[in-house]
Amino acid sequence: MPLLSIDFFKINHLLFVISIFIVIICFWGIVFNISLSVGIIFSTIIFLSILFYFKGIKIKQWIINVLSIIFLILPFLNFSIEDIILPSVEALALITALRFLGNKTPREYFQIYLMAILLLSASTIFSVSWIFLVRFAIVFILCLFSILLITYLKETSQNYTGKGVLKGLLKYTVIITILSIPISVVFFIFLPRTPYPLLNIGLASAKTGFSSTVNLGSISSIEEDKSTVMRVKMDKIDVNQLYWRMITFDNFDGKKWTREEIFNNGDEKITGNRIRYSVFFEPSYENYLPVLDFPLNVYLQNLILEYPGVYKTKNPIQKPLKYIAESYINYEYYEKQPNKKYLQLPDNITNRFRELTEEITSKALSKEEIINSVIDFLKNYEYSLKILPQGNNPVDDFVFNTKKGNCEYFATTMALMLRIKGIHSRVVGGFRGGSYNPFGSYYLIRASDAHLWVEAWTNGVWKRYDPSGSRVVRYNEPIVFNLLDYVWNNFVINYDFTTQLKLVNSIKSPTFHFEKKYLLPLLFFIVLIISIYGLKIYKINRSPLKRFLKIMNKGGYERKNNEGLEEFIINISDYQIRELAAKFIYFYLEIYFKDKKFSKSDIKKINSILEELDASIKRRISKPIKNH
Amino acid sequence: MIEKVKNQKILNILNHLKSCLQGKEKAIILSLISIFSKGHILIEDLPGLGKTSLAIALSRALNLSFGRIQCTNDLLPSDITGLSVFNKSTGEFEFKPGPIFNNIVLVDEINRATPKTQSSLLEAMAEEQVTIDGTTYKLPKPFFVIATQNPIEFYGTFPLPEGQLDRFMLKISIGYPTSEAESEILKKGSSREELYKLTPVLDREEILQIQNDIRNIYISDKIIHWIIDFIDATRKDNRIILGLSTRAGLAITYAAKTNAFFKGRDYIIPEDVKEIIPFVTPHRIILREDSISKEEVILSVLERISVPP
Repeated sequence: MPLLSIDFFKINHLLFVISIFIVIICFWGIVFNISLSVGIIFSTIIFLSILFYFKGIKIKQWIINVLSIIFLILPFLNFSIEDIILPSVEALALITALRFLGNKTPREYFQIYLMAILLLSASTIFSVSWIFLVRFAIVFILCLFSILLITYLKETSQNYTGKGVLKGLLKYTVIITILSIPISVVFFIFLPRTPYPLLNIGLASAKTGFSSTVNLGSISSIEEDKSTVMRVKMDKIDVNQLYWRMITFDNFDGKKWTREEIFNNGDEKITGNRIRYSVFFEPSYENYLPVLDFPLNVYLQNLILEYPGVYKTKNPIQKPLKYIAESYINYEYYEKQPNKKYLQLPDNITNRFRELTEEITSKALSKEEIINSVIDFLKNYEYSLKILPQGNNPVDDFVFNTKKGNCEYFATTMALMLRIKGIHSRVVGGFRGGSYNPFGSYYLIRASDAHLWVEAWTNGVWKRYDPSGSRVVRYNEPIVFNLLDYVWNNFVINYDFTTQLKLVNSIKSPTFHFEKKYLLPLLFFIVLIISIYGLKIYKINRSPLKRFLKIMNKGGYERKNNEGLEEFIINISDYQIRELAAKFIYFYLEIYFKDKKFSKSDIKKINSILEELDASIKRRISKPIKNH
Repeated sequence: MIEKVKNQKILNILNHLKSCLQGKEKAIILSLISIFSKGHILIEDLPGLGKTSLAIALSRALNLSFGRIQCTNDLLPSDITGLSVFNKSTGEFEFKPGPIFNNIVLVDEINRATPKTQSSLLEAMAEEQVTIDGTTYKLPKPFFVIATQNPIEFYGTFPLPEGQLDRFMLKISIGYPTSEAESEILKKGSSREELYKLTPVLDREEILQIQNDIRNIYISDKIIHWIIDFIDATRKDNRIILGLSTRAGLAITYAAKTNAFFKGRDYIIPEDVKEIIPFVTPHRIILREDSISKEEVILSVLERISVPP
């Protein structure tokens, strides 16, 4: 690793390393969303620039310019009008990386930081996770630190520094960061917002996979997706009641389930324990809303309630949605005569499947016993998300060949077997379970919780059967991250125009009146801190040497970069000025090169010498120059 | 300005030597820097410009013993180091020390000696000891070699390779004296007698004390980093094949410390370093082309590096 062998007290190296970190942190936010080739090119450029930097290889500017143009065009080669954001972000990433190959002047670094922050902002297009805040905080501190470093480098033109200076700069970085927090909070709260997102682009993520048709095997890809689908604020209930109903399917054509409109007779009746909860639903780009099985009501406008217990919006859900709903748990769902469609069978059902069904249920006498024997039979099958049965008759394949499958296959097989035996049944799609967060008191439901189960009608009652439910492996989620997620989503991401209006309105009300009283002292405090800080910067800027050189400059004596101070003054022809300058530089050099600190008395003495010097230089300027 | 010595003791030596070494002030100061930095010096100059006089005068003024080796191509290592001789009366081998067992050793025309002899001499210089027949003999302290070589004559010489030149802390040339100094010499006439009559200004103990004092001169990290920058620049320069070694860096700091001491300071400023660099570094580098002088290249590299503060 070249990084290990470098001298971090050399500011240039330090700046380079920090900048690399900044860009990598920003890039990390988008790396999983951009195309692989761009990621590889980006990493290669960064790697090469690190290599070149420490080998001292410089690249010609025109090469970089040509590459910049190529990289600007490259991502747009196969773009579509709808997806203009992604290639833009890719181009930005590549050009940012390219900056590292060129000269490393302060201007270049500032450009790099600006582009890195743009990249970081672009990452919010793809994901609105709280990780953004962490990344932003780190990038903010690093940028600030390196800007201070650049300033230090410019002001002192010293390429080497000690621990002390770095510590000092770090201190300022921390102070500025802390000071900026209240300001950013104020900006966050009061900056005007649009009621609708500015860039409403379909890049964001968690798909539930439940549209009105579901192919066998299509849920399995979702079951590996860990993104959040919704959070449900409610009390903790028995895990066996946690079935989030989204859609029911009634028609199976041998490969896929479809939902047909079925009108009930209006003779159903539900009893059970009522429970109320609020749902924070992420955009799904579909129309169905998840509710706890079995729903009583959803308090949201413009909803369509379809039989049986399926809630649908008019338009696909494109932004986070919050709704309050009521459901029954431990319910009984009575219906006198269900629709005949719940006995539909696909055409491609095989004889051996029918025979197997008869064989399994041969000993069963009642409908309940038939259902139980089917469930018992399916217990011999293995739950798996990989290598799912395919082909023209996936169900047959599942039952007789692979004997492995996910909830879709279990539910479908069970529903078909029950239908063969004349039991009305349907498949329900939704989510099962969820991890409960006791601090936020909510359930977090992820895409991986997607599930299909069966509802069957026996003796006038619809009952829920889950042939595969107990076999799905669930992970325990770290509670803290869950909570962070919740807080971030509720207070930052969902902080929109309406919330803002609410807050502004609430400020008018008397509960907030004390704010004004504290505003003045707070303002005073901020001004005080800023002025103390400004004074310190002013003092640093007015280091004795700077002042000395400034005075000498007035007299027309300019020090070259490669000149020592002694060399600088030795050729001054004016005796008085030379002596005074010598007095200053030896006093200054002794403290400086003995690595001592300037005490108050030292500064006093320096001030008096400098004043004297200033006076004699002014005298010299005003008088015509005499030649000695 | 290397001539601006402020330290009283050194000034005493200088004033004392001035009387008989007209116009060689710079050479004297550089030799003194070398002695007090515990280094050795190589004088590359034409014959007849007073190299030997300088060496003798130094040894007298510092009250040190003086030895002289005139190099020829048949000079053997044992001619320098000495050898064991069988003593008939005691019946034992007795060590007869060679001319190297002196405080100040003048090695005249070192490039005339064969490489074998050269390296035995340089080894003794580096180790400050000589091993003969399995017995190690320490060289006296202080130990200081003034080697000379003639840049014009090439016939029958064995030029020292850069790796061995690296062992000399300074490489200087005395140069022709100014016309005033030369007329003074011609008027007075030069006599070795007078040189041998010079009274000592310091004694051995004082020299060792000064050597130790110099090692304690304070050098700031800022200066060290600057020197490292410079060394690094010589290594990266296109015109230079072989840049400065770490030993060169050490030589720079030691010589700079002595220079600072001569200036009456107990800390180093960049000028101390800049002044000695033209004498400490050029002979240690190898250039890609011979057409430019090493000193010019070194100075141009030095010019590119900004000086603290």
